[in-house]
Amino acid sequence: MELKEAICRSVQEIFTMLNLRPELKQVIEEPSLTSASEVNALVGFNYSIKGNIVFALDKNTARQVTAAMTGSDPGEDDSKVKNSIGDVAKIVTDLALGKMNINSSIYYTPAPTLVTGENVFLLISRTQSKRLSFQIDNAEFSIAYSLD
Amino acid sequence: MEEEKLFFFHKCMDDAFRKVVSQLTGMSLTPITEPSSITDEKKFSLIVGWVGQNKGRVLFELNEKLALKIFEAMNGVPPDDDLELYLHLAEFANMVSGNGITGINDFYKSSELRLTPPAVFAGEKLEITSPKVSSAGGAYRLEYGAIRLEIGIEGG
Amino acid sequence: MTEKAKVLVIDDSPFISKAVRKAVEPEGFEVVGQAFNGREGLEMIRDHQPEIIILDVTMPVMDGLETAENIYRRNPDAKVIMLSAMGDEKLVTAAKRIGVKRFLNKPFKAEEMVAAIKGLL
Repeated sequence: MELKEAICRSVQEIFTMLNLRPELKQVIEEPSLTSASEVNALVGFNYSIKGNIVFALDKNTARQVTAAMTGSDPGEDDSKVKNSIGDVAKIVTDLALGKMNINSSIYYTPAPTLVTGENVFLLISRTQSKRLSFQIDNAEFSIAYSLD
Repeated sequence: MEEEKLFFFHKCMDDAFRKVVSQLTGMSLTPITEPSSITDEKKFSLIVGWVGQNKGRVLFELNEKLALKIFEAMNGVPPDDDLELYLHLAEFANMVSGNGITGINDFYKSSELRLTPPAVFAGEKLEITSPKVSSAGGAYRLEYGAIRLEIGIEGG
Repeated sequence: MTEKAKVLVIDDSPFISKAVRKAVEPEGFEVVGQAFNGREGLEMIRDHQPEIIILDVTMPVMDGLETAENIYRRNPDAKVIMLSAMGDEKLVTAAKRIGVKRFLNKPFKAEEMVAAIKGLL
């Protein structure tokens, strides 16, 4: 299975468990340097295959996902939001890598790194990356990924 | 993760950082206790993860002015565009992290630590958080600004 | 004449290509091009027939170790200098087992690169 399909399936599985119904809207090939969102969770991976995955959400969507994960609105509790988004990014990444039928099944992901800010740009690969844009209800989020 | 191991890891990265900065840029580094000059204006965060017997990440933070000066010192001219700057910063982060991880792997033979590809983030009011990670860090003043180096290891 | 030896850089970092040029061109070597991954590199080796190949370990599409295996399979006398930010024993041993005779850490000093090239020619 390719990484794109693995990510999409993993997003469906995990978000459905959270009673969120994500719909893939767009797949975009992106140049190396691209814009990011207000809340970004980076998960790198290495061993049999190597690359980066970044979950990118605006603050409102991040709160919505956090509320779905924790069962309550996080309000202004930024650290709760970051913890939750980091968790979901890592769970989806680990699940996606596991679906890829890599022979050795050895893959490792370190703890996610959360990056928040304004007018954020990011580079996750020296070559192109792909961005998957999802919609959940009226909110959107995207997952950028690159494979070295 | 014992504190001793965490600080050893930080020392390896720190040694690598000083060696690479000195060799690539010729800039002098002065350790500082508080990198207050890394402001909320456009800031760069360079992140390189590692995996293996343990997992973690290296983080560098610096303002745009120093980032541009590092590029110029590496190449002799300013960058043609943003992409060129970001690519060089990614390579810079990769070289420091690679040298640091080599030091760790050579000491802890069973570590087999490997790096994930570098990621470069830039923006205003940039904040980096790594939940569930124990970290150790330090900062340096260079001619054109301050740079913070932090390593974070899962658990601990 | 060794001074006119052709050098090919196989590395996905534009900085490394510039650094190699800066180091070797004043010594009279000719950098014939840069490939950004191993697969491209193998094509450029076929097209340019360089005397010296500067090869990064970590690259997309085809990494340095796999590229080196391909290079040596086609030409056991190839002259390859492998570059890596990670120079740990395991990596160096793997490279040597494939046939790589020179290994440089990134960042390299200009004189180190020149000495490595001259040592192979």
